[in-house]
Amino acid sequence: MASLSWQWRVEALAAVAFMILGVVVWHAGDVIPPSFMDTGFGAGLLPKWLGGVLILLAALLLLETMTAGRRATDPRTAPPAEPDHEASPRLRGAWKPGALLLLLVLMLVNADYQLIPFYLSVAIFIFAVILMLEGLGKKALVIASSVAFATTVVVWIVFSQLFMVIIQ
Amino acid sequence: MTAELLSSFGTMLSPGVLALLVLGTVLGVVFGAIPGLNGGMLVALSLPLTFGWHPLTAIALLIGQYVGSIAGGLISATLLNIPGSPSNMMTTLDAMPMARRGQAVRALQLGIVASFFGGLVSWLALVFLSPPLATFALRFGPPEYFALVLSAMALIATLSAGSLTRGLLAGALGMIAALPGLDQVTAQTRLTFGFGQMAGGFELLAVLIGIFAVSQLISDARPQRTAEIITLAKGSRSIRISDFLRQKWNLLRSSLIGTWVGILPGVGGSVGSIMAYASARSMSRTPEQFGKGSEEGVLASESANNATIGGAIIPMITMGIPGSIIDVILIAALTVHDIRPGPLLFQSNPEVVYGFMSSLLLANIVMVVFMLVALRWLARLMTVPKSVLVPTLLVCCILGTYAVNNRLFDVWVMLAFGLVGLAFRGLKLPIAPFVIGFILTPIAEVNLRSALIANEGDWTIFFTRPIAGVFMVLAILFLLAPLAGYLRKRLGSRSAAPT
Repeated sequence: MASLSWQWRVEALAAVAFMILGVVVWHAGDVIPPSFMDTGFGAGLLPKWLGGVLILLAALLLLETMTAGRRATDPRTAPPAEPDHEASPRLRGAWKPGALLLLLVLMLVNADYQLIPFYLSVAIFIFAVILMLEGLGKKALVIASSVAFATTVVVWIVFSQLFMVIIQ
Repeated sequence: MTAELLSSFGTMLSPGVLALLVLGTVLGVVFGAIPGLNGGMLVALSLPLTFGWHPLTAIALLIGQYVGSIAGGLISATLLNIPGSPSNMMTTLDAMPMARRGQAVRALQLGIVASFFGGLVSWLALVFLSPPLATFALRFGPPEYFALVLSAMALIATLSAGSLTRGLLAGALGMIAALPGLDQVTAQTRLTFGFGQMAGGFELLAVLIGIFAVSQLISDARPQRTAEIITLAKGSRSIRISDFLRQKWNLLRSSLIGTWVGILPGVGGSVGSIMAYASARSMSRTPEQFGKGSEEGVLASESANNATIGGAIIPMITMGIPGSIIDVILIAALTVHDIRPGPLLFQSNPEVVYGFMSSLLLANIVMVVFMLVALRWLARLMTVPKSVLVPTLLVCCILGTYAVNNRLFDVWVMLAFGLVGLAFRGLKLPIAPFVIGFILTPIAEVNLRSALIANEGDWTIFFTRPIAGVFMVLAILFLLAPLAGYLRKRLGSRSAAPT
């Protein structure tokens, strides 16, 4: 029940964010000045329409979400809570996608600022992700280092040498 | 037409192109078989590699991947009870119980041959329906095109999983994502918010790789439920021709349903296999066996989901409307080669049209041969660790996206759309309306404004021209259908309630 209540709060927040986006798009369409070849159906027409449609749909989503939220928190209509033994393993690893994303961002920042050679960062990224997903251990270390090395070499040959895709 | 088709087969059978078609099909089967990987991801990732190739070579690789990935999902559906792609969802209901009874090999062989049969029927539809449909579509002007796109989007939003609101919202967000950059009619810059690099809009491939591959790979990092893996028993009963002759009407009906569903824009294999499965069950003499290991169920589901491929290519090559999500990526592949799918494709680039036809048939043949021969090897793919696949594929995503324009901005766009994909999963928003909205918006906008400018702002043009009017009425009906269903349900429950 806790996860359901969390879910509808996130959805309500998302609906509000979509409404704001709708307003931004509508405004961005509205301020486009008419061009010399404008006939009344200029570049701002579709952004204004879509902004309006988005505001309307986001309001509908908010309404749906609030109704579902009321049902989820009402003890008479709320679905039974999931047993703990099923939820806990997933919750224990819930940080992993976030950590993966952080590693990915770090690799891209490095590519942008050229702190270390790109393919070295690729090897480090693969090594770190495998260790994170497999857990620390002798076997994981062997797998992580061998896969990181082999993959980086293959990727370097394919992209850098064959297809001439050179980052930096 | 026959001469062109035969000539296209000749091109596809040349050693280099055939090798790529075989490679594509094998990779597709592998990606389809491993849960968490899918055909959309593979096709999007391979696209940057094909930029410098001849269009037909690129088509051979990508169609092979498309066919292989849909068929490959059967393996994890049977051995893991996890559909490799949503279109294999119904297969799990009967293939897994068969596998538990020690008939895993038989279930897989039946599914593989049924996939081939479905592919064959949809190939025939592609060959015989595309030319007349393209001729018909030549009558389309801007009002017809706008109305067609509108009805396609309404249908996609209506048939998407979840509520109509969510489907429409996802479509609207996709359309908004297509707006930034130079306006195609007046060449004005819009919605770039001061970023010069956005003048060309979001790079299509960055969006597709982000939303399909990156979001899936990041969510794959979450620990998964450990699945029961069924191994292939030796000496299990093999299939015979009589198994299929007994089920010929089921196979034909399911393949036709799959083909028809494939033609509907953006609907995809999952709806096709659900409809074929439901139809097979209602026509069966033993409906009680469905869900408990019925061979009829496996045949219906697998023939239908593979049949959607040929069906989905029909609107793509004849009208430029993608029949499925992977077709969106195929349109991107053609656009990269300066080829615009649509009715004029038959005149401007007939070799591309026949390339799709010949490669689809050949990919189906390669798929059935490869999967039957390599069945036991493919079963071992179920044990490939995600920890190795996830970082390796993410690196390929980065380099593949960077390769398009050699700029890191596109890689950041890819990552941003990866986050959008994750948010969509979390909010239960369907991805199909988003990507189809993204790719169809430029067509819709140009045609809408051209129609209005040519008719001095007269909006009735969309209803007074017969073909446009039909599409507009269809769009309205598609949007009203869920509302009618909801009202009927409400009225039904009110009349059933005790007074």
